[in-house]
Amino acid sequence: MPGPTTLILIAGITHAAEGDDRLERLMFETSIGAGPRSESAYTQRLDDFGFDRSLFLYDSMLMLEGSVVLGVSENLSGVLTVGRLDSDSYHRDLLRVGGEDYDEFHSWDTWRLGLYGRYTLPLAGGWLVPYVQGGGGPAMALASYRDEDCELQERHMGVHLAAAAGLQVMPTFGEHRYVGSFVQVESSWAPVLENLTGDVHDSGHRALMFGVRAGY
Amino acid sequence: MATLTSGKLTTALFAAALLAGTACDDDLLNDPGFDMWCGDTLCAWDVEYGRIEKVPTWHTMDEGAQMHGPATSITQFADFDHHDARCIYFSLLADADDDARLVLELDFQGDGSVEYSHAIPDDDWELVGYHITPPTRYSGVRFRIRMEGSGRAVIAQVRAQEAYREDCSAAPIELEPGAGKLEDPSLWDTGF
Repeated sequence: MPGPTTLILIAGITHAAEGDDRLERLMFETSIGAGPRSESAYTQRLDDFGFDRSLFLYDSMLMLEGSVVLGVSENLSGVLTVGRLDSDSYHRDLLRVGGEDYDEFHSWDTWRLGLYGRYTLPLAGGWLVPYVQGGGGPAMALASYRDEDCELQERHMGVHLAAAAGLQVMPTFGEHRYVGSFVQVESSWAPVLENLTGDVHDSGHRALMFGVRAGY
Repeated sequence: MATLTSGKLTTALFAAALLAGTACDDDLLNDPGFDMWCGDTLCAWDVEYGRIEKVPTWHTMDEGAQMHGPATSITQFADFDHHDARCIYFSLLADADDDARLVLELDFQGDGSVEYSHAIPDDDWELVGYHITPPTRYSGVRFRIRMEGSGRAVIAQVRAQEAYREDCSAAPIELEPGAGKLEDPSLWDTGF
């Protein structure tokens, strides 16, 4: 049974054969953005056990994303995205037997591979393109715990759902659009990270992203 | 008469020196988080009765002390007095089965008379904090964590910190009759 990506590819090729009214066929997007860190029972548990959040970018986090966009019709695209969902770092000060202090660190990075459907509504001859998108896919958190003796790395697997809305600015030359930029607000849900007491951390985020896109 | 060989003396002094700084500056107890294990026992706490075991808490690398059996108790004598702490703030982290209970006992003066006893809230690692008002005069406190009942009981933190005196609204704990005398006259002037 063909997967979603295959279906989108088949739909795009079929549509092209019938007479292509797509403004774009294949685009590559990369974006950077930021959003507030999310609090959860998991982070509260860290607080209870004496951990402090690291001070660097204390309340916000940096996100990076890369996407491949395949036009299916004039208004519909399939988007395959790889990006960071969440990242955080905690530490606590302890004193070892001997009186010297040392730190213990706990941190994680959560990444996603998402397949989304995007609906676009080109305006102003295709120069301005508002859009909405939604979908989901797998997510993976890479967590580490380091004390004075060793470091333990763990992998937590899960799923995520995400939705976004944005606006593309795409200079159009004739029927061709090659490069442009976009701004996007997005929200996601990704209950991936879990501790031994059953606390789950939602690595989903709310973020404002800025990016560039290029293709044909 | 028991004698202390030079080797044992060196070991004892070394151990005392090792344990001298095993807590944060404002902590009144050494190793309040049960993080330091010497083999299969705690370095800074003495096992009075029963058996304890190092077990994971929220993470496999952050351990607590599981107490096995109803008679199990661990203690630590903390050498501070009423000049150091006129109000003590406790923050406790524990988890226990319904039929097990952990009790925190304080023996001011360390003379064997328990002046304060309180069940440690032990529901799913919920962090619980409260203040107690120690006696107006005391020198040294023996902390004891004792298990009652049966089942699983794990303690992850017993932190005692000096707090502002205004935070302690209750009357001072009274020393048990016959409690150990304050031998050091300098401790008699409380300055309250």
